[in-house]
Amino acid sequence: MIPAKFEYAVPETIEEAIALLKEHGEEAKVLTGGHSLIPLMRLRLARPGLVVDLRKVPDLSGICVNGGEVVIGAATTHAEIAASPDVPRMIAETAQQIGDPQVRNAGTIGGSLVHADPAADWPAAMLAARATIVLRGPGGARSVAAETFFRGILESAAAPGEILTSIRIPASDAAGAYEKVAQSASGFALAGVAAQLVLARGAIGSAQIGITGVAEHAYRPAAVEKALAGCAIDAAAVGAACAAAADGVELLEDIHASARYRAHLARVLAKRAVLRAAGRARAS
Amino acid sequence: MKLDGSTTVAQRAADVFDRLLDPDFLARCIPGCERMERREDGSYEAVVKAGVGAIKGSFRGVVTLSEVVSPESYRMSLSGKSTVGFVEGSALIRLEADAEGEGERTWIHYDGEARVSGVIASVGGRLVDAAARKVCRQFFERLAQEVGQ
Repeated sequence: MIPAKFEYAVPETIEEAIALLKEHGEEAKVLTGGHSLIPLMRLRLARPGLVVDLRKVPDLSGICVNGGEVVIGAATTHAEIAASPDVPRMIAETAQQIGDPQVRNAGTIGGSLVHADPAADWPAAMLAARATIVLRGPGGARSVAAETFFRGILESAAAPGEILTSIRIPASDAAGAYEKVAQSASGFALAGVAAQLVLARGAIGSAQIGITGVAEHAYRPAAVEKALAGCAIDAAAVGAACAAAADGVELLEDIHASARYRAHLARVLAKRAVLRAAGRARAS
Repeated sequence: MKLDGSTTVAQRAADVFDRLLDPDFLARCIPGCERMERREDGSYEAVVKAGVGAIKGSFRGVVTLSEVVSPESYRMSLSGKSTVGFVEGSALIRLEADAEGEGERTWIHYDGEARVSGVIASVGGRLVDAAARKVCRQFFERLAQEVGQ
């Protein structure tokens, strides 16, 4: 449980951090909360030659609201987001369900997103919120829509040498909810579904759904979103609309949950998340 | 873990078969392959860097071919070890002329099983299967590309 030997750098500016990543290439790994990277290093599954600690880089942490848009710094911890009055309720609810108190107090949203664990909670919420992920590299900053950010197992659109600096959540008056069934030892999602929706004429007007834990990366079930548009707010109708929640994706399977069970969870949790979001939309 | 699938390539079965036994060709198709050499006993020795995201391992292993029925089928067995764990597996590779390809197209079917053990399997179990399927898929994509050229 002792990591292989590595060098450690603590840059004080983002430019310095990017220069270090450029110089050391794939040998370098970025550290913020360390709750994905350090366990991998201790097991020697990851052996970076250089760890670039971003905790001294200013302005990477914190939440601000800008004309309705919520900007979350990459090094903001899950616990800070869970307790924030400024983020949409679905986002706070997702943060609250991540791991355990230690993970939430140290782990960061940016670290989790870049690590791109297929069972992490954030990807589902990012997809449902139509978030934009801001990356910075030697060539400057670029924005990637959440929908194209998650590429595969532990694979995201962040290129080597790029640092995720912030997450932008568009202003919205939609109501949302996050539902998950966790693997009891790790707290990772066997399946997790985030839903965000607006009502129109007493029914669901439009819905945005993100599903994690079920496939190689989190995804938007387009067929479900389509079926939910105009769907009546009752359990049977929403359940029918969510029947396609796991269609068309290659399902994950392991000793904790079969592919069939994961697909089942995706459908059930999608229904629950949508109904709860609809209840909140009605109440507001 | 079961690994199976099929792919087609634009070549005659006999040509594909020869290339599948060529270590240089295989080295180009195996994702992350750094070295591949034929040994005196006909087996192959390989060094493959494999990994997903932050997890990276360098596997050193031996690939053995048996039950060779040219140009139809053979069994490929592999055993490798690395800093992150061990891998063992065996697959039956079967070539079949595409019924609509007039002999110019060939189906490659693979049907096998792999077992991963060690640290990577005990902590990364849920990632290993999917990662193995991905490597497999990449292998056949590259193979189809290489053959197509």
